[in-house]
Amino acid sequence: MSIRRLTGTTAFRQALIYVGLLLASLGLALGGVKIIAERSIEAESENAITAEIEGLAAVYGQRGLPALVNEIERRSAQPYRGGIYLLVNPLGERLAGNLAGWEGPPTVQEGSIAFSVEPPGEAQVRAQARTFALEGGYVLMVGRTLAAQDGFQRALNRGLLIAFIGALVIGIAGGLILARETERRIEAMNVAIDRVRAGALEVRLPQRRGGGDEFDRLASQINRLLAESEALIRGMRQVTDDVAHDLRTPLQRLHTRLEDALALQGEGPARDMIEAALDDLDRLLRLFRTVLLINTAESGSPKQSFQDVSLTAIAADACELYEAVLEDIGLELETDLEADIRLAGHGALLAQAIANLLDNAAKFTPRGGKVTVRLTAGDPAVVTVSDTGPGIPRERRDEVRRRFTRLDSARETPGHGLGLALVDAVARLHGGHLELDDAAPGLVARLVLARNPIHRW
Amino acid sequence: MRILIIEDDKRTAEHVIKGLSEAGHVVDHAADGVSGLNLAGASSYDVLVVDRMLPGKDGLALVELLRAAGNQTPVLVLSALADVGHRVEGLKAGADDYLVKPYAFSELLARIEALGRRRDPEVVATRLQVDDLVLDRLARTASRNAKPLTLQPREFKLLECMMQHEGQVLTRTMLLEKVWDYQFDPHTNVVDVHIARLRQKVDRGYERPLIHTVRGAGYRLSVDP
Repeated sequence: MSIRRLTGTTAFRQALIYVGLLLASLGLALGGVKIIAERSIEAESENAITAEIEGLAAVYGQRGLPALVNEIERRSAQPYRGGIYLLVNPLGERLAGNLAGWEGPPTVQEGSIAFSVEPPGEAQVRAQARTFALEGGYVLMVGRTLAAQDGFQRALNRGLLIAFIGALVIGIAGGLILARETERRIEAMNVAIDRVRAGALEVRLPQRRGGGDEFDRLASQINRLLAESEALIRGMRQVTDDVAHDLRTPLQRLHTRLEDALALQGEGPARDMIEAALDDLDRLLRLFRTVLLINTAESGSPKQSFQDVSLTAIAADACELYEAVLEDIGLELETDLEADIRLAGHGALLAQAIANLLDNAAKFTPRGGKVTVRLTAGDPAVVTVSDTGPGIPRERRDEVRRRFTRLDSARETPGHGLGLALVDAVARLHGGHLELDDAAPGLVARLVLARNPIHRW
Repeated sequence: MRILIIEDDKRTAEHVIKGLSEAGHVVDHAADGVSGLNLAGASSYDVLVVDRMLPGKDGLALVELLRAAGNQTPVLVLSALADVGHRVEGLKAGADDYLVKPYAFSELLARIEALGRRRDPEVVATRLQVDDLVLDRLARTASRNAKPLTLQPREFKLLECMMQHEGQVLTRTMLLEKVWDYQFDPHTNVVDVHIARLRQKVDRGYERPLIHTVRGAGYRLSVDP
């Protein structure tokens, strides 16, 4: 089973939809976690900043400016740990801290301010700070870099990405496994159905033992249908066999009696009548045989005796058989047969079908015309028989495939309107069809035959 | 020839027996499979004619039993089943020819006589001769009155078939089966056209024609008209 075939299955599509939904819910859950985590980290760092500002304000309040400056210098001098300090006088001049200075006159804002800093020897990071106005117009700013939050965010993003890719890979792999399982069961059903269509009426769809899933229920439903149609087809065959037997023995007697009568009768009108009756009987029998043959071809049972046959040889034999006939009635036969086209088929029925097409061409093409037989390889293989006769009007081309259909123009020629019905049945038996077209003037009949009608994959 | 006919339909059997006797054959009759099998085993026949659907025993099963017992008598199976597969089944079971009911008596007679002759050693002859008509099966040439005939491959096969069955009637369906290997009857008289062509080459210009039309039956190649 190819990947392309599996990815085209319903099971795979459903698995993909399922993975999509799974990823969406995963995204929702992890996104929520991320937002909450970020908020709580931010809140924690804000609390720490507020606590530090309160502590420093207390130092200023109790011990005055020099103590505050000392304290800030002490804290700033510690190895850099993310703390940001700046103390400016009312003019904005830096008194202490680890930032370069205040840009412009100092202002005090409510809440956090966000900016970027570049700590010595490190890359630029985001930072967050609060400002606090001290008595005397001094402004104190205390902040924290957000390096830890950014690191956490990156780790979280990486984790999310890995989770997404992991879920996607597992989802697709699971989808393929599910699809293969479904495909395997559907394929087993298709194989069984193909075998039934090929004529093995007793074949049933596989069902797992004790299994009652939807496939088994479908299989059991189809199996009931198959059993019913098997009974019908077998019944019909039995009936045709019975009719054949029941009708043929009396017809044999009739034939016998007429032959006896013929033997007793000398020359004269009665003899002619008996001979005419025998002719009629023979025609009736031929019709009977052809109807049975069409029935057989339509039942599909000859598929069981399909063999590897050379369509080229069959067509060449039929052409050879008819060439003399056509020549005798003043028709030219042109053949163009591609060499060695082989297919699985029923040799006798294919020969009969091609002979029927030639027979029709011989019957309906006026003297001086031309009949062309062409055989083209490829799948499907096509046998084309065209003539320069009157053709068949477009609106009646479907009708003439049905049994006992005769066009008014054919009233004068012998036949029962079964020829094309048989060709059509033989074509369908071989997984193909009969095309009728306009040769302008004349008829083109194309016998389209699948190269391998039993198994197509 | 001694012929055994195993057929349950009394009227058909009578007619066949009468016709075969008139044609100079000795005919025995069995009305069911079991007595047919006994008769066939008890004495030696040239041809067995077996109906496919018999009371007591299927005709094909009977043929299989005979063959299994080493009886090689040629068998013609008569059947009301015309399905494409049935003929093949019959031949597979060991029958030598298969004729679908209803048939013309002439068809039956022609086939019985063809089967009865089959055991003659002439089957392996490489050179066939009828009067001044000579056919060399190895060189694939034919001549009449020492003058070579130009024959198409199928015409050669047709002439070969008729010479092998010299003096016997060959029906159109028999010729189609033997020469073209076709098991159906084409609607137009294709065989007649081919015979006419062969006649042109074999008989034209000769005082004594060798290919004869047998009215209501078929064709025969022989010195006598």
